[in-house]
Amino acid sequence: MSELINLIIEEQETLEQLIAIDNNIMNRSIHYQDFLNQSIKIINQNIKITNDTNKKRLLITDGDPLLTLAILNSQINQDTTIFINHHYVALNKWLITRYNQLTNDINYHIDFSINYNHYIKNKKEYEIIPLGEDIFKEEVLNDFKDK
Amino acid sequence: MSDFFTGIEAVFNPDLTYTGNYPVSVKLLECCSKIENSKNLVSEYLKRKYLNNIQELVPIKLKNIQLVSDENLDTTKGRVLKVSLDSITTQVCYNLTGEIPEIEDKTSNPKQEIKDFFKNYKLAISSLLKNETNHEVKDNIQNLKNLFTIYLNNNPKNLQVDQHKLFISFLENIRKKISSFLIWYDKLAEICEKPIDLKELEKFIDLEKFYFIMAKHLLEISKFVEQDSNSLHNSFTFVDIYMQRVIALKKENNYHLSVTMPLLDGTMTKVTTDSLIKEYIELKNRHPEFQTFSIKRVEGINYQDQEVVEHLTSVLEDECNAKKLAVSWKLFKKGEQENKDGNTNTMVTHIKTEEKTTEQKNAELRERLDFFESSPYLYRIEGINQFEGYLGYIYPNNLVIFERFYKDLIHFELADNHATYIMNLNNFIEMSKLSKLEIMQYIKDGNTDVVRKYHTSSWKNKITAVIEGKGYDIDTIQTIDELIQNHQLEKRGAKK
Repeated sequence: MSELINLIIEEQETLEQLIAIDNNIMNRSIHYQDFLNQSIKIINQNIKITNDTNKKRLLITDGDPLLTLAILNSQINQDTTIFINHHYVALNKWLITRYNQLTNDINYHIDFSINYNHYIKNKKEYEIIPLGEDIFKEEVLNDFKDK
Repeated sequence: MSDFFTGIEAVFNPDLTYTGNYPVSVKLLECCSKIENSKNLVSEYLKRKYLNNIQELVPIKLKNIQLVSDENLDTTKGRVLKVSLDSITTQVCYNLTGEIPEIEDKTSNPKQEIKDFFKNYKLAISSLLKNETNHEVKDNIQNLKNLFTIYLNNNPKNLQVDQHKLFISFLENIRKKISSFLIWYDKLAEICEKPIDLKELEKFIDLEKFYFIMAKHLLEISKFVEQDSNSLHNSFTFVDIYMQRVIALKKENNYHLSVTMPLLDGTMTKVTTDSLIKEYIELKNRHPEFQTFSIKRVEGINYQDQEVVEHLTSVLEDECNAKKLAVSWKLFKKGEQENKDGNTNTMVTHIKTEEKTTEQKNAELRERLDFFESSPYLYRIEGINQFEGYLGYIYPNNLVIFERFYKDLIHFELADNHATYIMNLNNFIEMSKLSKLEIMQYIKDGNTDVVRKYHTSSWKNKITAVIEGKGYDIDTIQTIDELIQNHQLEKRGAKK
């Protein structure tokens, strides 16, 4: 995964343009240098995501690209869909594309669309794992509860 | 004009379902028929599928059969078009007795009521045949005698025959027909209960004539209803939308149609575009409270443009005045708030500081409310009834954002964490007519035109972006893809 950091450094110009697109749409002001520094920290942390079942896994995030990077770095060896809730599309697309090109990893399926409700409807097929802030996780798990 | 609506379902089973029923004569539909080789296709279809079978079960020659547009009582959703059993029963009763029974609408056992009606006539016939007096059925006896007189007058040759024998034969014939009708009543009811296949029927309909004729028919029904209740029949929605279209077409290219059709009493009359427009405008002027509008999301429209915003604002004002959304929502223009006396005055905050749950929750809630209140919304919405506790905002970019802040608006007890919902205004207007369970089910069914945003640390930024109308549209996604593709790796780990 250090190769991904190399690419973040090499493609600074591209990333700055992608960050500008995301900042404009998400109303944020991420800076390239911050993104690079935090990416390096995450790669060194090597977070693991455990699984409890043999079902397909659905990792649901609020779209934070650094969280996406953490997921990619955790090297899950199982059929997994990462649902990125249609946020920070530019940065997330770059991360996923470059990761696939570097590793040829076919375990991940990425969902950038707004198919969230589809997963709620078919929740029995998935092991649902919301990631990110506690409040987000709590609300996502509420969505998937049987009512 | 024929493709402006979605077919005959736009009239007989519209998206906006309403209660009650109204008659539609077979003759009326025959006037809308396509004609092929001099044959009226609607007439042929209805006879083949329904009316011939019905005639075989009925002991008299039926005339002017009525259909009825009614609520779908089986599914409680939508509407159906059926053969009117009532109209057949009425004809049979009148033909055989000279009297029309008084049967309540939606009676639970119409067959029993018909049986009771004919029971008295059977007793009357029995008394007459035995030459006995029966005071309990003296009115029925008199009706039968009157009927016989009419029968004689219609057939002058009968005057040369033995009147007594003829009367006996007449009474026995009536009694036989009554029995036959009661025997086959259940089978008849079964055929009448089955909804007419609208898709099949539509194949034989000239849609342009159909919309015109039905507009006139429903306008007549509204005039009929107006006499009793000074209001319009709820089927008038179709008339309103259709006539606005006709008026526009007449302006654009002098659109004109002329048909001969039956009125409610069966009288045939000629109706032209001009006469219909005149009647429609007169009726609308008498009922300014009735408003119909539609909002469509059109690709390429910048909803921030001034004229679009003005249109949206005027549409919302009309909604407010007509209280269309009042089933589940109250609307307030920015800066207005209804106080407890029902008067509109300067906005007051909902938050009661003496009812805090935790300080942190209150602070977050205040921050979110302040954020919304300072945003450039057009209207604020407060949920009522099943949506009590929900607050939301309508924005110039055609989006509605709402979430549940309170469990109720009496104690202002804070609700547990609920996501923010975002949908288009046209979706919202339609969905606000559903129950809360139906909306939640709509979302759970995987429909993607409702979006959730969760209360994460970046919630405010994301909602701001929504309010400002930014998004990952097709052009933006293409730009992103191009930027990424233009730096393709030649091989794994290779530098450019």
